[in-house]
Amino acid sequence: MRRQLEEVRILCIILVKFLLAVVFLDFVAGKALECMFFKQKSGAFHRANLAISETKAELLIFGSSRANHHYVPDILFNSLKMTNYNVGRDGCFIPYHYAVLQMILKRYTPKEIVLDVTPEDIYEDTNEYERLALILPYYNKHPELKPILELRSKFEKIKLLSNIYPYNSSFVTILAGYFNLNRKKENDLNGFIPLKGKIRISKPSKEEVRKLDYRKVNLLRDFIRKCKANSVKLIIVYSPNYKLTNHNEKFVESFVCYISEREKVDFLNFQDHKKFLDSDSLFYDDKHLNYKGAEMFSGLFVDEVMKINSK
Amino acid sequence: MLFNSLQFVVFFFAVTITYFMLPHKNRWVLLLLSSCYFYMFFVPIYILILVFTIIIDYFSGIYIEGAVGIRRKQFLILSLVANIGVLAFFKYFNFLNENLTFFLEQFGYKNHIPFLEILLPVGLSFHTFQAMSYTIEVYRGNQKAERHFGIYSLYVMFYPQLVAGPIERPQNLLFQFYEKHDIDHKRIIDGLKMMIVGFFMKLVVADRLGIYVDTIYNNASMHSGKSMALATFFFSFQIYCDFAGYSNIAIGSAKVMGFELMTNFSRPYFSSSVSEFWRRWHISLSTWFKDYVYITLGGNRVSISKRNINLMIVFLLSGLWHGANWTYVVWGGLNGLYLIIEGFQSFKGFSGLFKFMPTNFKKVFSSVFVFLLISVSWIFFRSENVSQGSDILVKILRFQGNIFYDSPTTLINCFLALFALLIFEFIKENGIEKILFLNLKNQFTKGAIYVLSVIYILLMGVFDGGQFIYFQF
Repeated sequence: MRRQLEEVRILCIILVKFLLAVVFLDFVAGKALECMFFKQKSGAFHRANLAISETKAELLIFGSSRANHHYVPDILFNSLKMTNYNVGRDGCFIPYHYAVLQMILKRYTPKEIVLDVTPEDIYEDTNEYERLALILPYYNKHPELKPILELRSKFEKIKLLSNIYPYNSSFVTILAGYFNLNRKKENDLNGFIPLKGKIRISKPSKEEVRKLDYRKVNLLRDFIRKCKANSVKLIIVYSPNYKLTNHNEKFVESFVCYISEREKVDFLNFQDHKKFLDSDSLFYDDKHLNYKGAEMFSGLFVDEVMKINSK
Repeated sequence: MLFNSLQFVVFFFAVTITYFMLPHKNRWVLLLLSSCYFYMFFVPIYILILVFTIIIDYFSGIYIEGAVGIRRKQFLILSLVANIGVLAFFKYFNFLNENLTFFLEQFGYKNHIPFLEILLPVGLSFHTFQAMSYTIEVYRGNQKAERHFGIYSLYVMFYPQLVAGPIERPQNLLFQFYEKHDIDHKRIIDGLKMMIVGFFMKLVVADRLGIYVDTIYNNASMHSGKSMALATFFFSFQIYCDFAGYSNIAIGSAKVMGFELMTNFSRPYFSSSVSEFWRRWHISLSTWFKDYVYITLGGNRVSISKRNINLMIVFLLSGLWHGANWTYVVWGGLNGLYLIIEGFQSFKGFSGLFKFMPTNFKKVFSSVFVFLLISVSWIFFRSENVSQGSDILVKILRFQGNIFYDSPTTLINCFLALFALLIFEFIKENGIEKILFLNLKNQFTKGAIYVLSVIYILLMGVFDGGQFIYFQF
């Protein structure tokens, strides 16, 4: 018995020392990463920081990669006479953007917001809530993100006890952004990233049966209502496709149209716009316009916005 | 629940602490109940499958021991049929049905047997094989039949090795449930260290490489030969670290409680021959097939041609064990072929190709060559079908195009993970005790390495499915 107690004592001492060492290094490394994260000089984190913490642009563009690559800032500024910033981010949909909207509105109120929607903004996607990891670094300064982060996992609060956890898998990216190693690659213009090149191969699309994600639908509604509550003019947009829309996309079009009408916000639909359908020279791939296509689309877009704004 | 989840960490500590607090005679109850809970976390109703096979095998073992002559064989066959039947139904029904449909269509007939929507019970292939090893060993007289139903159930359901092995033998495991395991700080620390290594292999290496591999292989027709080659290279390590990582977590968690499970992987990519590879890779499965299939078919005591046939049968079955698809059979067949070629006396193994080199170079080149051979077989293991596997192989051999990556950091993260793994494996393989000024035998140094491993896991481990490579067509 005495021997067992001695073993327990030794074990506890070793484990406590181990845990203290881990906690200490976790704290130091976490703080170092936090410092570097918020001092990014280039890259996606830098653009996100600018959007969330610095920009005072009058017009903000939200959405996934389609938002990020479709709205040319100079065309928007020249026609609408509004400073603008592109908050769009590859692979990020309504849960991410609702979180970002909250953080931005806490700081200032833009005049107009454009939300570029895709099917992924309302359909189920197993990984979508996992991508909320991108807003973990902002949690300490924005506790209002807690309900959204709980969509990711109910254990998020426990995991956030680790100072390193918010920066998980981002170490190399943070270093690259901190030392400005990304600057030449993306050529970003107010957050907008032009895509160069033409579509080469169109991957045949598989028409799958997709289910509506009601949490996303509610977040879309919350996004709309948040804008209205803060007197921000919201325009929802479905930007052009390379191919004729399939059943899933048609449903999204009708569904978003329905929500827009109910919530009394403007919806601009360029889904099957004849100028873009099957136009190889305007697309980088079958989901994204290249720079030439983005210029054409931005021109058409601002014409519609000016009509809306003049009402 | 998965090993790489917060739920498992909580579960493990709760069960382990309670285990040591309980008197020895009640510990098996705790382990059995917690193993049931662990299994039911996946699909609760499937515990009935385990109950079914446990009852059959428990009584079969007793009857085999008590019977004489042909009756002994009959009870053995009953046990084997029950286990293989369950495996065949849940794992291979649709595969067999698909092939039957294809076969009948060649003769103009239609197959009216419907396909079933069956969710594969987790760990089915592992616990059925472990159960079969019990009845076979009782039949062979190497193991006394277990009379305690609870202990026998625990042998089949012991949670550390229930879902992913190692596939234990009754001679190695059953008696351990009767032993009293005291708290031994050295043993517990060793067990926890193994678990940390397992989590590192799984979260930092396997899951990290898996992000790139899945992006390339899931869109194989769109990617270049060079991308496919890189993805295949990564997959060789992904599958190793996934499997070996799980094994290390299993062995480590059992060790903490005082149970010694068999080593399942022994740095297989350092092998300088395919036969050596198969002595180091998934040891519990390869020895199972050797002891219960290969030796039963005659082993090495038959003619060379019969031996080669037996070898091929074993590897084809081993391939099929891994999954219900012809790709796994091709994978197994390729490995069987490598072993047959290696067995030619005049050839003296693949290392004979490098016999003119100095010894150190010969070992390195042999290991690289064996790695390449094994990687070719992994192409089929990972592919959706045999046709895709062949196309990928041809693409790799052509070696054209550019390597795909969405961002340099994607590949940097992968190579950093591999570098850390290779350093660790190299040190272990060569028994290195000193690197620069660091004495690796020193307790402080060892402790620091494990602390840094945990930090590295927090920093670079893949904890979620949200990490992706942006790849759109």
